[in-house]
Amino acid sequence: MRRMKKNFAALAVVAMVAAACGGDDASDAPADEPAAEEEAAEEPAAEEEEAAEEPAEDTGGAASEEDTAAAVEEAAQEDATDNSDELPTTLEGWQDLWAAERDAVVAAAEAEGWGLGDDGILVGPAGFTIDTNECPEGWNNDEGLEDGVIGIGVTTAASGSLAAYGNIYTGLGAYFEMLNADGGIGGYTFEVEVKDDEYVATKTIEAWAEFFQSSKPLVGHTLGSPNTFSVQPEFNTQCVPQVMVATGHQAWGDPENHPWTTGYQLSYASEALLWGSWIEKNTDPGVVVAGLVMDNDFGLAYEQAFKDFADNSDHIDSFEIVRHDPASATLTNEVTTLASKNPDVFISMTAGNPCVLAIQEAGRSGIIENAQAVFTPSVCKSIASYMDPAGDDADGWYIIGGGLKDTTDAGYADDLWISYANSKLDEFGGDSSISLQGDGFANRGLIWEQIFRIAAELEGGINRTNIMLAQRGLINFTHPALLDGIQMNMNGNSDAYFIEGSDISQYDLENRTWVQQGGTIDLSGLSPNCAWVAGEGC
Amino acid sequence: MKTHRHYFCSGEVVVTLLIQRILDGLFNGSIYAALAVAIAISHRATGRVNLAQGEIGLFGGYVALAMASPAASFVAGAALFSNLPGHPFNLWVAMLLAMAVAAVLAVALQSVVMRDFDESTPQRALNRSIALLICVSAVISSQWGGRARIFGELFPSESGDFVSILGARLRYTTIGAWVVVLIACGFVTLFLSKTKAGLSFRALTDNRGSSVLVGIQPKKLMAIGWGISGALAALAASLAASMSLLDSSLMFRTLIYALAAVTLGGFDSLRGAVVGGIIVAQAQTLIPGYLGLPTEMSIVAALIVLIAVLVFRPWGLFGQRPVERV
Repeated sequence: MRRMKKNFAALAVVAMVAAACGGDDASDAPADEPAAEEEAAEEPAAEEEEAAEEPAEDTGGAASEEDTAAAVEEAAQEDATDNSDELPTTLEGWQDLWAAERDAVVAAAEAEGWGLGDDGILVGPAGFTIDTNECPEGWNNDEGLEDGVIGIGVTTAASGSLAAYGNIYTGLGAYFEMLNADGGIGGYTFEVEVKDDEYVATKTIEAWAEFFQSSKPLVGHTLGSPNTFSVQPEFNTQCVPQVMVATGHQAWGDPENHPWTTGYQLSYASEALLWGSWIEKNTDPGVVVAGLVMDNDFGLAYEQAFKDFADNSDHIDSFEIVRHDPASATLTNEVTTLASKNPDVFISMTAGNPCVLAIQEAGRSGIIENAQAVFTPSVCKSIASYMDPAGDDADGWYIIGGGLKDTTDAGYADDLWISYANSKLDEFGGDSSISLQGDGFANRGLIWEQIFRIAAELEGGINRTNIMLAQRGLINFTHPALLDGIQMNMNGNSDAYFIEGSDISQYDLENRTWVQQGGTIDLSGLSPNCAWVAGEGC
Repeated sequence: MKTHRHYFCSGEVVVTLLIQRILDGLFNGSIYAALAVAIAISHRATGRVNLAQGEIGLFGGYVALAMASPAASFVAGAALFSNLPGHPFNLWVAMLLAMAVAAVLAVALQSVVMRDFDESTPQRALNRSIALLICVSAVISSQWGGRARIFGELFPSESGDFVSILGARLRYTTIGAWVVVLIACGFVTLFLSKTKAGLSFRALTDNRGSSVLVGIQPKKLMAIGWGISGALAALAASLAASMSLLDSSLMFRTLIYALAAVTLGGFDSLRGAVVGGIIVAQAQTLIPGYLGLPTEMSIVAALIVLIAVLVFRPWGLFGQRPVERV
């Protein structure tokens, strides 16, 4: 009996080894890889070679590989971009600049006849139109404006493993409190109602069903790719603005099919291309890249975009993927699997608490010491929330930072806008030591204010269609929370992404700061729209 | 793009990966074992499963954090403890104090809210422990919010803090966690075998009716059982938090694995709870790793093991086979 047990144990070990190894063909996918990767590995070699020779197609949501590579090359030749001589040096100066930029939008609207016509057609810049006759019966352009109050509905994770992002809305709420204290905008004050969806899409749907049936806000806002996807059709059917959603999925740049939804930050597809271009420029040929992917729409957007790049790259030998459960308490098993592939480059494609866990596990598993470069994603940029908790392992990580200043970064302690915003955030009930609150206040709050101010100046004042025109027609806005050299703009159907630039930075643990590597990258207006189809892409 | 490098299938790497996965599983196993032992003790005290065990431990974890955090920090409760001499405490001291607080909380809950927990029908007991879980969880969320917190490191856990075994890394944290769990289990075993209260507790769990007849006070001993289990649960939460982050959902998943472990090992057996913790953790690590299951399915792997045991040995690997008197 004992011998039998021993034999069984030995058999089990051999079986595990065999399962891990698979066949003797080096092109076999490992057992723990996702099905898509396995399918790719099974493609005939000839087709693979053919694909490698073809130039990559522009798939939408990001600039072309050629433009991206050129921008990375150019940025590497420069020092950190500094246009500060051209920018205001006082808050009053900034206010004047923003007022002029708002006036330019209003003037363009008047000159080009943007607005909602008597026929129910909303006409905007660059071919942007919405037929409000297709909105539900009884749809009201002014719904959500009652008793001098603008209702704003928000869903976000405020608990669970991505709870930290809930801080964005503490910051944004403080910003609206500040505006209310100054009398509001256009005769209205703001009331922000935030519901916690725990980053669970079904809860987002429930929350918005309540919003649409009861509080009926003028505009809505969602955080997270799966969550935003889950209610995007409803927003566009109900004709309610889904404003500057807090996710970088490329799908939000689709003004023709989803005119009521706008994104805000650098798209994940752009970020993935920038990773690839940087890797090609800065690492030895034949690299193995390991991707730790959050298994949902967010992580898969990164994965697909980078895989498309890697498939066309002679520089990248293989792209190894392990997906993780978004609610996972630890990432030890996943990172161990990736470490076994001896990656030359490690890319964390995750968010929330896993940002920290990925860094720590990469350190403990030996990936950091053996890899040529390790990347954390733009959504993990927050120093106070993600880099500080990661401890010593955080030193030296690279980031395609999305071009925004972290309000807790010691390097911006003397920045005019950041220091002002931090003081106001504390004054209006926030906590400036939490960088995501700073993001909600200094970054997002300011642009929300501009959108409402522009809408207030358009014919008809603040209403749903003017909120969309104010965004789609924001010709240029100089945002002081953006790094020098990165533009913020949108232009109807021809440019559906606000921010298409980024910094490439490396974390300096000792000084608690992201150190910019070279100049900023700006690909403004170069990302084609993305009519997203699930399972297929743009 | 080429596909995978040939060396991935070299024997050396495969063996190293296998060992590494086993070692990874060992760390998780220490946490599951600690919580499983806590569940087993409270079960022995009352004959019922306390589903709030993980949340009571989590409460202890947050108390430890508050005790180890400066008064000016944004950790709720830190100011409350700041009047204690020596605050903020060393993390180890804070953890031990928090275990005591969790024990007191568990005793209080048992004495006030769950006083007749043992006399409830299994269905009512289940409902009550779910209600308790929700209440404790709500208190934690209201006090400490959903934001993840840095707990701190109980053991050295920098990149170089490991022992190499054929290229795999046995981390100091894994060694430390097991040493702590085994010491805690040793104390519990000593208490049960060498003290009057412990012996009475064992007598009660073995034969409740006869124990009462010889003057043993069940309510008092049940409270002691809950107190011990509360302290162990706080230990489990602190160990888990020290390796990741402390957040309000930390112990919920751990509870599922620990329940699987204690079912596997047998509800009556502390040794079974420890062994069950190891087996569940290994299943969680090895089955998805080698059968190509997505990592989200790791919990399913653990539950497959559980179901298999329930089918073939429902009283668990180390539990006592129920004897039906006729």
